[in-house]
Amino acid sequence: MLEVQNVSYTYANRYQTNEVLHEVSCTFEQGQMYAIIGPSGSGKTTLLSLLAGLDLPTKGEILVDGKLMTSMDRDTYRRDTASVIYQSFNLFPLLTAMENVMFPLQLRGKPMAEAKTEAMKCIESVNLKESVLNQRPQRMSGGEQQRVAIARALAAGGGILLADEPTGNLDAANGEAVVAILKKLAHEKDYIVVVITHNTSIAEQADVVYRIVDGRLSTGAAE
Amino acid sequence: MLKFQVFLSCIHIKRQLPKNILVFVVCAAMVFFLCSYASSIQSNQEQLNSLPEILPVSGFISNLNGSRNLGLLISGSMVDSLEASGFLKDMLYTTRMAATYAAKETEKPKIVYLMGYNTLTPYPSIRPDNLKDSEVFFKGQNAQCIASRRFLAQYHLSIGDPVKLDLYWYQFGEVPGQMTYEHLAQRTLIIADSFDSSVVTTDLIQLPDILFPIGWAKKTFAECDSPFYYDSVSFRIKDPMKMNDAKALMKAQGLLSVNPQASDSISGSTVVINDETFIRSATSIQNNLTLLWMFLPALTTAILLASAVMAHLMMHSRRGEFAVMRSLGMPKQACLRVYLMESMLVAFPGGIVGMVAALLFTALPFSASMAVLAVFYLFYLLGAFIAVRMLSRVSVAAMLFAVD
Repeated sequence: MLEVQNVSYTYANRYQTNEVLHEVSCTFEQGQMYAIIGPSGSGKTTLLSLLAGLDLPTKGEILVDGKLMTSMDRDTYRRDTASVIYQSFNLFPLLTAMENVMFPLQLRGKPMAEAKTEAMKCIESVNLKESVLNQRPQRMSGGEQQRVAIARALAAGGGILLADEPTGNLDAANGEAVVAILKKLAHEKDYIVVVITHNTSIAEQADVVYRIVDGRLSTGAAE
Repeated sequence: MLKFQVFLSCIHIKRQLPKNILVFVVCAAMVFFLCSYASSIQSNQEQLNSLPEILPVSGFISNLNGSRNLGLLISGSMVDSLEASGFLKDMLYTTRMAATYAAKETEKPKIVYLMGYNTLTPYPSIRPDNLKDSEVFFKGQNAQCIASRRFLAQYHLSIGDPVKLDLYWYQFGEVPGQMTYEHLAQRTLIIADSFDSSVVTTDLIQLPDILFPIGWAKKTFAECDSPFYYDSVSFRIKDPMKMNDAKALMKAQGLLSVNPQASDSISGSTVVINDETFIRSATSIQNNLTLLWMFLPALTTAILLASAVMAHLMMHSRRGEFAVMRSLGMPKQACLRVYLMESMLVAFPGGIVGMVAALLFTALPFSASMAVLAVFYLFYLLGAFIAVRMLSRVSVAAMLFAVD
């Protein structure tokens, strides 16, 4: 379970400070798919980066299964617990699809052969064509790249999947397929899936929808 | 983990082969160029250092208008001071004397010409018949002499016989043919060897009958309280790079420069130094060296900065990848190690190839090449280190997420 307690986040530089999140509190539970919606600049992505352990809140706390994130090794948290998929996929451009999926496994010290077997299972679960396995990202379609990104997140296998506009660069068919995979992960594999989206049809498919406006969070149905 | 980092570095190098080959070649070229430049400086410096051997600077003492370098009156004390200064080497001096000699007391004495040397080396046509080491003989002060075969035959003398001489010192006068004689002392010389005076082809004004060590003459003059004069003096400058000091010393000793307008004289008051070729060559090499040294800091800085910037750019273009690695939980140090390893795996062999090429095609010694390579690596590592430091400050979240 992920708990966000009175979290505020302020971007500050030499000239100005900007409070992007203001005392946000929410909870994310296993087996549920969450959608976070809101206008551009409302703080959605900032919340996601805090949930991913890429940054720390200025105020408030985030708890992972009851443990304070500030007391955890965030590298280990990202490696073993939370994975992120992005609108722009963020695959390693020099690695093949298979190598991208194997990366988190090898990072955890799995031998090559074992990592390959596990990566193959993840790839199968996202219905990725075998023909792209040895291709590098620039030769894949957007849908294929996002599937590889999801497979890589699955390979990390931590139980928390955070997605930033995962269908933003995909056509409708691929977008629907990706959402179906995310739902399946939440409902069948007991993942916490948090999706940031502008797309109301995706939000409608989520179990819980949070709306952020001007850094303040509210619960509500998608518009 | 280290195995995985090495694997990643290798795979990155393999997948970016053209770019890495370019970096490899550029690194090799930079090291080769730096080594070549260093080699050029070294070879010029060596040329300059060996110039005194290749182009020795010689000089001699002449009269004021430069028309004579023999038959002069050259102050012995002045020459001794010059020799003691340490600026000159290979000094050759001669002195001449005349004597009267009668084989029997009843006979009328005849004039005999004598020549004193400190060495016979520069006069290959004068060779003693038996003496193995004439150098030792002429460096000594013994009352011995080498007589011409003609002289021995004329007076029925043999090697080992004493020759009792009434010595005079004499000088040629200002007018051709004019000579001045002054009685000095009576001395006996033992004939140590003979020589063939018929093959003497030097520009000696009067072929000598007797050759003697100059040290003996100096001793004899001292015994008679007479000032000693050399007939001719020539020398080499010991270190032509300190020629100005040598010239200053000579000037301080009262030696003048040649004045062609001056009237003829027998006073050895002028020094002539044949240094034009040396000065021209040394100036040319020195100018080259000055230019090379002048451009060295700028050139080295440019090349080393270029290598640092290259290392920096190689990593800067990988910021996105760095952010993804970090987001997947790879520790910062491990990520940076991958990039550093990758950078070094390309640059180090490149540098070594450049150094080997320099060893093959330039005269730079191994130690100097190694020093150049080390400096190059240092700057490349510095560039890579700065890039790594900058990478480590990248906001991973900002790199990964689209603008919200």
